[in-house]
Amino acid sequence: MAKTETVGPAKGVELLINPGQVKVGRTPHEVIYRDGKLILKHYFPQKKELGSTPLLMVYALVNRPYILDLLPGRSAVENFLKGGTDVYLIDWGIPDDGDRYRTLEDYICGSIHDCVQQVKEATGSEQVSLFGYCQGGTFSAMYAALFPDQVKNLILWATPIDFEVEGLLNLWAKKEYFDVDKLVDTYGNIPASILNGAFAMLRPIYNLVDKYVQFSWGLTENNMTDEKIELFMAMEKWISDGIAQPGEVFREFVKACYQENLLVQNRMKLGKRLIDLKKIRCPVLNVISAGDHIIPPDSSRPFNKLISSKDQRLLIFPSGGHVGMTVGSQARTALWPKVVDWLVERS
Amino acid sequence: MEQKWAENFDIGLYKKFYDVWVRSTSEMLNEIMRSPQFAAAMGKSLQGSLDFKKRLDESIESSLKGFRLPTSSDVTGLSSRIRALEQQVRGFSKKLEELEAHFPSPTKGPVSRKQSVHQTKK
Repeated sequence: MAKTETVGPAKGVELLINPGQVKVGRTPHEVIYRDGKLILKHYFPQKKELGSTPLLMVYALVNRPYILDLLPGRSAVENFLKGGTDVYLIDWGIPDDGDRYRTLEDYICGSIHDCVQQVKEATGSEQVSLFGYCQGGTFSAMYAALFPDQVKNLILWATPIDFEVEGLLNLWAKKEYFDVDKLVDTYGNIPASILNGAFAMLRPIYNLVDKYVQFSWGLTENNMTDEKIELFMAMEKWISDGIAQPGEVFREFVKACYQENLLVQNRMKLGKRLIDLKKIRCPVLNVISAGDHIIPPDSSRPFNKLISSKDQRLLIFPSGGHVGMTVGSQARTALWPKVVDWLVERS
Repeated sequence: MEQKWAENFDIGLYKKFYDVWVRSTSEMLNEIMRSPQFAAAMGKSLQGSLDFKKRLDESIESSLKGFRLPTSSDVTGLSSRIRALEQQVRGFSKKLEELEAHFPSPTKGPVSRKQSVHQTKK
């Protein structure tokens, strides 16, 4: 079936019943490093001439990282590969009870640092470029501040930095309403159902009703292409594929960031290391979406004023939300080419 | 009668009504959820469910202990010890690497990180 052909309700219902048949994360890759559940993926280059600095992509500990390589044509990984960048991605794996005591320091100064060393060894490069998405962006910013000599370029993608700004998650996580200690002490790792429930509640009518109604209307009116259905189902698969968040990391992140807002004050510590964002001097691209309902744009915006980088840019994508800015149609043509060019010029 | 109803059926009208409902309900819910009262109620509801889960877990644990079966606390304790051991191993590995870099083995030569990377390929 041609990609642009419309499909009827039968195909849509078939996919709705079994979303698992949508294949995600298809860009060819190899695993070059394993540490427990973590795997470091290397994507096979698509150009003969590669930039001299490899790119390491760091995703959040919420849901799975294949959102960065969702489908052909809807893939952040593919965009960078087509630009001639050597791309690596950290897949944190699915945490279990053995991970409940892992800390932010373990993840950032341990796992991310180890992956950076592996990428450097594999490529012979002195430094890496970092791309961090959402909480992965916050981790990347922390890493760049703690190990500035390791990072050539930093791209932050929908990244929360200032947690005092107006936003539903920022409000609900306040100390007076949310007892994070009790949650972590009771559950250990925070179940995906709790995290997904909180995210769904940010836009309940859209998440629980409207998107399915719009999808059904699209099917009955016969204006859904194969490509549109595949994207919808891939998104459904990703949303329902939530994973637990390691308990101690969650406790530390909520307390230090959401409740104390220490990162923007340069008062946050990982173990004995103090995170001073002013130590970031590398070129920085901070990309935010005006329609992001999970990470308010004002939460990401202040980052550029907190660092010492002279070569820095704040790129605001006017349409699309937290995920749309990564896989949406408009992002594909209006946002990604700018991001890829920015990196290519500096690699 | 049925035929007449089908002829007069206008899906556009229903869509308009639906759009108005979506917009107004979303705005109303958004306003409610942004209020401190809602945040406080949600916090209290979570506390209640956590209290219940805690009591349930304690009751299950005490039953399992009677049968000398491992409990969730046992697994948690083991996880904590494993993590401490992992950290020790990580520390030892780093120290060994530093030592190898300074004092290469005369027979085998230093183990490069490149080799270790290839060994992990699958």
